Amino acid sequence: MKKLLYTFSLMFVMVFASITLSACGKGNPKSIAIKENSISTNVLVNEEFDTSNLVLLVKYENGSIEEIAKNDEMEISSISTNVIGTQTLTIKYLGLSTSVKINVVAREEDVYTILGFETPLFYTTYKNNLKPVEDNPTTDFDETEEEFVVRTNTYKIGDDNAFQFLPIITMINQNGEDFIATAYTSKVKVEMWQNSEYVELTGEDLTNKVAVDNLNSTFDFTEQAIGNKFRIQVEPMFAEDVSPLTFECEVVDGWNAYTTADLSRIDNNTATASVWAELKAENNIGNEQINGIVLHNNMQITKDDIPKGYLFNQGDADTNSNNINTLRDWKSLYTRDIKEYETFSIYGNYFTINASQVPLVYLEEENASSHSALISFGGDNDYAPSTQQGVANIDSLKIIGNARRQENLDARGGMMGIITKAKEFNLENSNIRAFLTIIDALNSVNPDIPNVNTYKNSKMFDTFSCMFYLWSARDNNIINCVLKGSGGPIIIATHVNPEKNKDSYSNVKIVDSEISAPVTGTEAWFAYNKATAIATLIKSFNKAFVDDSTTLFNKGEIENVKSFMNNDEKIEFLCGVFANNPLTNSAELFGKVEIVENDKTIDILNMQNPIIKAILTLKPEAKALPFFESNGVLMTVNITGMTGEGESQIPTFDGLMYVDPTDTENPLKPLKYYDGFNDEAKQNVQKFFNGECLNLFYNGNALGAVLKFYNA
Amino acid sequence: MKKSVIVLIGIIYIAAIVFVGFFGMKVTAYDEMIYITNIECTNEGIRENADGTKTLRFNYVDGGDVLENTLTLTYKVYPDNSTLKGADAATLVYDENTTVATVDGLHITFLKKGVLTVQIKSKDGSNITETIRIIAY
Repeated sequence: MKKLLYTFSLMFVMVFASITLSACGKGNPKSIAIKENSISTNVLVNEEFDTSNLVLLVKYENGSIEEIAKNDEMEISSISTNVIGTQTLTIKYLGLSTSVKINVVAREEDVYTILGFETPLFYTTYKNNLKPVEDNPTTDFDETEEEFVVRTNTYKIGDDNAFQFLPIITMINQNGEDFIATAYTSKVKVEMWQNSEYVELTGEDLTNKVAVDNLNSTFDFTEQAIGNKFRIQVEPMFAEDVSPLTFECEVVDGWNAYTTADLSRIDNNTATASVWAELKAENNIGNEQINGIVLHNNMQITKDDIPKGYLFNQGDADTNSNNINTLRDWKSLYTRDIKEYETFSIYGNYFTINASQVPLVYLEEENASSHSALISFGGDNDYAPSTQQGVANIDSLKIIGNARRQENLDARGGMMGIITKAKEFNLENSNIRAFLTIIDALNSVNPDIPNVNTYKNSKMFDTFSCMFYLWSARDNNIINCVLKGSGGPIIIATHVNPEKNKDSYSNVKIVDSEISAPVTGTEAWFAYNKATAIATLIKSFNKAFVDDSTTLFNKGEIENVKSFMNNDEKIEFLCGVFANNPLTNSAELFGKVEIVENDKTIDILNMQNPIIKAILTLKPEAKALPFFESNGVLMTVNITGMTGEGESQIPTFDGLMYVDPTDTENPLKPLKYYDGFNDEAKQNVQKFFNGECLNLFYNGNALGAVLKFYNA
Repeated sequence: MKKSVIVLIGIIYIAAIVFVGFFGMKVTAYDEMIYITNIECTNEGIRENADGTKTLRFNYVDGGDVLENTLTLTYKVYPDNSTLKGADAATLVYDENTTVATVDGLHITFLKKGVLTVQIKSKDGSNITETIRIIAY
């Protein structure tokens, strides 16, 4: 009976346990890992090895990860601290095991000689990035592109985990061999900026703000330290003739990131958590709730840093010889879900995220381009957030992508830089280059709540496609920026489904910025977008402005006649305003582009300008006409016919026409033959050519474009 | 200009596009940027460390002149067709507060025995670096 009872009890326990596990939905534990920084990997000789703060990360079959603090069920091997060298610490738990290398280091006063005591490399890199950069006129590259606009920002440190300031300590052992120390005993001084001076912290004032580990040279700041500036001074305890190193910093709310793997902490997307789980576990990365990430190094992203679920891998059912090891489309690498009242910040500290080695997206369709991005402030699923997103910030960061402006179509599989669906996105003092598109701003949750995106003191270069793709992204302010070298228009501002929602449009305001991307219209972007013919068409209109026989200007009555082609026959397509599909019936196109220099507006393109709206409804002789606006004055060309076939068709024209908005019956006045061409009209034409930009409208399709004006 | 002349210009324009398309002549729209993907220090005696950095030992001469105590770094950039090449391709990044040496371009003059860690860094925006720890002994 006893045996039967025992068997029954055992079965009951097993069944109950399996039901409990199933109910949890986690499945069985699959692997364990030691949480980063929960134990020290360095210990001084003959000192006790401390595991009291040990935390294990337990990964379950369903991909979820649980953090378990040290407990009696954990079997922890011992470390003999009387032996100098590297030993392995092994921890067994739940039938699984994990291990880590522990360095038992000698007291440097006993054995070693310090040969070099240098500033850590990250700090040297930071200081170097604050320097102005000179252009070398003998090269084909403008080296000043590399210079940050603002070079005075204090170094940022996060409060969420320990920050390490480990000098480069070159030591010589008794055999005369040199090596770099991974730990040393240091004398430390911490000062805080108070009342216009640095004051040394001691006692509680110190421990309330920071926990100092003077063996591993780490500084773990508390939340109380956020917003304060500190000066840290370190020097070796046991060395003569070594000058102390000092370091200034400001503490912010965020996680200190040292390696590329740390960037995975940006991703908190519930839809991709299981995709990231394996890579995060391999790198001992937990799922801490963080509000920001602080870079302390340049970071290079390679294929090995990308979750397997984002790639076509050997053995996947849909992998073939064409797509193996390429990136899957619609998979943004680091996706952040920012709740409506949250803020998430990336503090670059002038460091670089280099994604140039990330594989291209495999595209099956001939005319498709990638939808993947490096960073997506994009919500809680793969494609669109289900909830209103909060505020996203990026500050003092350099990013390099895997696409560039080039003449073959390969780069259309490149990544976009940043997708933002945040209600507010601030890009400050950053330098971004070589992406398919750099900014893809959307408002896909609720177009009735306008989002505001500000790009300030930043530089962007060398994109295969446009630099900004705005999709129902209401207000976009580009302030004191440099945007150079896009393969297509620099900015595309789209009104999404205007027939359904008149509020889903995009405005752009460009203030004191340098924007330039001369294109011929034959570049790869124009080719695969079938836009070469449109570019050719636009360029053909230029004849109306500069050809003596078809304009009034050969008579010397108008000064500073301008062209929208430069001497290399290239046009600068600064911004295009479109709807994502042809307008139907009563739908109207909204969108506004304003360019301001030195507090003076030099150009406004406004699709809702009453005169523009009236003009765009004109269909003289059922022809589609281009309308040109500059300085608020409108002109068009008198098209007399078409030559060529299909996409190569270009119009023939016979002179410009002045648009007289006061004559609603017959507003188009041929400039050349118009008998009543009076002083007022002449003044308006002169005003037109005094403009800095040319706005182009087309009454055939609803679109507006801002082109750059050159002196002819 | 007569209307027929304008039509003729248009025809020639289209013919040129067809001609180029048919014969496959490449129309270069712009100078593509070819970024540096790797930098390699080429000084003799360089030693690679486990952490990916490199070490170079330099024999410091006590009481020696500037020439004797100057090391010139040499490097090669990849790919061969990168937009920036040769001496214009990279610059040295180092702690400018160092008291161990002075740096002029790629020339490092040691003032005493010690260590100077430098990065050879590309100047084309690719941010490629090679880190060298130079030990003057």
